[in-house]
Amino acid sequence: MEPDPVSNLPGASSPSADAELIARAKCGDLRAFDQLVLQHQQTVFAVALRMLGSRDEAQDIAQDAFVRAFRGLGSFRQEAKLSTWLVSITMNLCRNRRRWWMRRRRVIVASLDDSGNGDERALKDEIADLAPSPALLAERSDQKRVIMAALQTLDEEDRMVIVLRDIQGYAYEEIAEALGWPLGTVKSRLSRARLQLRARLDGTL
Amino acid sequence: MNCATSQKQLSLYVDQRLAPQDREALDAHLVGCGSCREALQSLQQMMTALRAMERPEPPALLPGIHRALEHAPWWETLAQRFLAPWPASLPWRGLALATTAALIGLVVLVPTYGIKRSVRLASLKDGGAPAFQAPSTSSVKLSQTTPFAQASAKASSRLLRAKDFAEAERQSTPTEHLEMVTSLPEVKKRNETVDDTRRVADEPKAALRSQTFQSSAPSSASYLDGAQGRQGGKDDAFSDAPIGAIARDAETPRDGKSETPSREEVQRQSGPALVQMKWAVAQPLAAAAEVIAWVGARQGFAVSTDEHHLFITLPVAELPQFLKQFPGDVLGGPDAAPPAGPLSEPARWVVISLQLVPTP
Repeated sequence: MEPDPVSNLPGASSPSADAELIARAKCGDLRAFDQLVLQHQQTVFAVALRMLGSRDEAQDIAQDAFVRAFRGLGSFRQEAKLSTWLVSITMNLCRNRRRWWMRRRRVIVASLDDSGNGDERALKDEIADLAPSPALLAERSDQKRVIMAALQTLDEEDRMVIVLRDIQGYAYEEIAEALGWPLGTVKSRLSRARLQLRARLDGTL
Repeated sequence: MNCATSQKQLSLYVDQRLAPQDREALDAHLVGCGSCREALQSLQQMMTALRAMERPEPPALLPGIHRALEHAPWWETLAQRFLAPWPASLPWRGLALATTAALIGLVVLVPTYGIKRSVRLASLKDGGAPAFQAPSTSSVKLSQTTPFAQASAKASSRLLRAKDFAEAERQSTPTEHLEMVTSLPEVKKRNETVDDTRRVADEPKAALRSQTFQSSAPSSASYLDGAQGRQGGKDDAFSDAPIGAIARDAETPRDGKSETPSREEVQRQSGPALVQMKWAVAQPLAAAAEVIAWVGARQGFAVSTDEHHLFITLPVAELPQFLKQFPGDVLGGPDAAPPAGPLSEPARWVVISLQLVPTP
């Protein structure tokens, strides 16, 4: 497969480093598992946040995902990538959570105010690094909210594939593995999802 | 190539996943088609914006994860019941087996009937009994549940007497004293065919019996205040609380073990008090499972009629420990209003009805 332009983002841990920690965690070494959590929490939390649009929900889901991962470590296949496995657990939990909401016929309000502490911190770091004008910052923040809101209006599958590919930067193959879809489905879904999202964002970007 | 095909391929095109010949064809089309070029530009713009989304800094997840891992999940508790070595004495073994059966019944119940919204708090307010008091006049009937659950409920009800009384008594040694007043239900005679219950009903109006507990949970203190205040003027609310289940159950032939209190012994105690509490939780189902596991490990008994509603019988002496474990807002007695909905957030609570079984 050709090199992926957006894959292998910084912060991702190497599979070989994971392997040793996984082996230790499987033997009940909680500290090794903590290491794994620290290495992957950013990804898991980000996926949950983009899927659900709420920091509280995302925190809940991310914690639950790691708890399930720990309990299910025995069934984890060593040749698979841990991050992909974690993402697949997270996606399932997100889907269940949404269904749970739907069962109660609650209107899912996309948290447009997604500027929790973490994002503010990220924003501050950005100010320190690049010192963009306040106007530019405001514009960017608005844009982010618009995108988040538009994302929440997509079909579940469309949102999944956009989050994984265009926000998290996973390769097609990884998405196929995480979601359990054939590669062809990933391609066609992504194409469809991008068209949908583009239509919803039309003129706002 | 026409525009429709071109638009479909743009996604793969920007990701460089098109086969070389398709790519060349699309390139050629883009040269001559302004609208497809625009679509491509718009798509690239959107992808840039998506990629520029900040990577959110996660909150501290480890403490929550550790907390969750400290609590053994219910299936582990269940497994332990099977795997742990049991003391040779028969009652122990029977207890463990029956509790396990009850737990299995619950595990079947929770998902199957968890979303049955027809069985509501309201029915309890009508003076009905908790669901596990199967044959009573309650509007919450076990007939709505599986026969297996009924069997489990019965078995478990009996268990309470066999062992937990003794254990509850042992645990009720007070250190810090909180006063808990349980109302002695003035059992309506029409409800009962058992003569002995009259004795209960005829007991002095000051049928408020003081018991002391050890507890440090602030929520239990406030609960106790609330319960006391409520009972002052609302004895009627409690008077419907059926004692029938215990009385009937006491009639059921048992193994004839001496540790089992007789019907009279049971009835000399105050009847079951029923209080409700609302426990705010992140995940109601998981929380319910946690409560069930906790109670199950103590040979108490719980049954769920709704995802948000658990009925739990527990020896009165276990109450402080329970409140400490599951701190929640106590709503009051059986007449307490159910939590008002719709909540602004997706519902995050479990309503727990506690039926306090007296300590002999």
